[in-house]
Amino acid sequence: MITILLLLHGLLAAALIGAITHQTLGVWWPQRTAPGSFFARFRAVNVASYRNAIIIMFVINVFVGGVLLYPTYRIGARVALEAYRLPVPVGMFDLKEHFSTISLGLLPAYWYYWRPPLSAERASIRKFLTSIIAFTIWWNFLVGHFLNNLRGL
Amino acid sequence: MMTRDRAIPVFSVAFALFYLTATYFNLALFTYHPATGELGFLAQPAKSAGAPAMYWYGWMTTAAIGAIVVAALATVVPERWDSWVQRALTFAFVFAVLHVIIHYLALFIADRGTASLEFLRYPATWAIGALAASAIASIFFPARWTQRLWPGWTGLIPLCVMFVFVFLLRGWFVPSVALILK
Repeated sequence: MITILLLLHGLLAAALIGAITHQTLGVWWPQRTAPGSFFARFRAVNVASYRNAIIIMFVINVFVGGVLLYPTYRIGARVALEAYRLPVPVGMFDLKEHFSTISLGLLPAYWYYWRPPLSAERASIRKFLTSIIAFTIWWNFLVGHFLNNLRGL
Repeated sequence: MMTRDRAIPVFSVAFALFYLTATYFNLALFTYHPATGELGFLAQPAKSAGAPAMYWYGWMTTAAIGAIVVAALATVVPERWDSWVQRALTFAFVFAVLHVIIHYLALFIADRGTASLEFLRYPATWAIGALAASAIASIFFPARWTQRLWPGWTGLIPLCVMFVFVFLLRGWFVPSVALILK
């Protein structure tokens, strides 16, 4: 069961990475002309349309990771990492936990500022919030992957 | 201003601040013991060395309750107070930044100075210094910093909380980084 949940957690994380990266690049570097290259097409998306998908996937992923998997990590993998005297992975995971929580709290504001119609006046705060959430999602993905390679559940 | 316009961003900012406070002072509303599956009210110690206690859920609950209360209060604050809220936030932010700078500067000087500079080690010295410096700095705040409530606080304050967590958890990283640099 843990393996299935871990796979689900990883798949959701990969989907989130795709969505938030599209949105972040689109919001920071919007494609104004007809896209030609792959990279230009990557940015030429309707960035606002990702809002609900990102929120739903983020919440589900925090639930799967934080509620269903975290206790197993806490009594298994983390104890082993501490026994192996590997403080850096433990610290990285603690940051993942705190960054996730702060981003979870930011989701209402993220939803609010991405509500249509998008006002130009609030473009900066949209970029800011999207970047924080993007950083969190990338951090969580990389740290989770790294830790799973180091000491799986 | 609509109620929701005010409550939602305030919730996000307050949640980050309450979460930091709950984590720092271990103000968990409940504790989960994953080895036994038990839940306990408020922060409880681990049952044994092999059965750790989990406070994360309790911290989140504490933060959510605190943030909901603050967001609810924000809805009844009159709009004409916005400029004062903005002033207070700007002052508090500058105070916090200067407090960190003065703290480390004072310790740096105290480590290299004589015994007469021992007062630089007192937290009250840092706080008074930061307060005085913030008061002086506030004279020079541009008008645009204090007139309208800035929506950027919604991102800046949680971002600062993330930096504080990096600082608080440095103990996990510093020995390894020092070893690499050696």
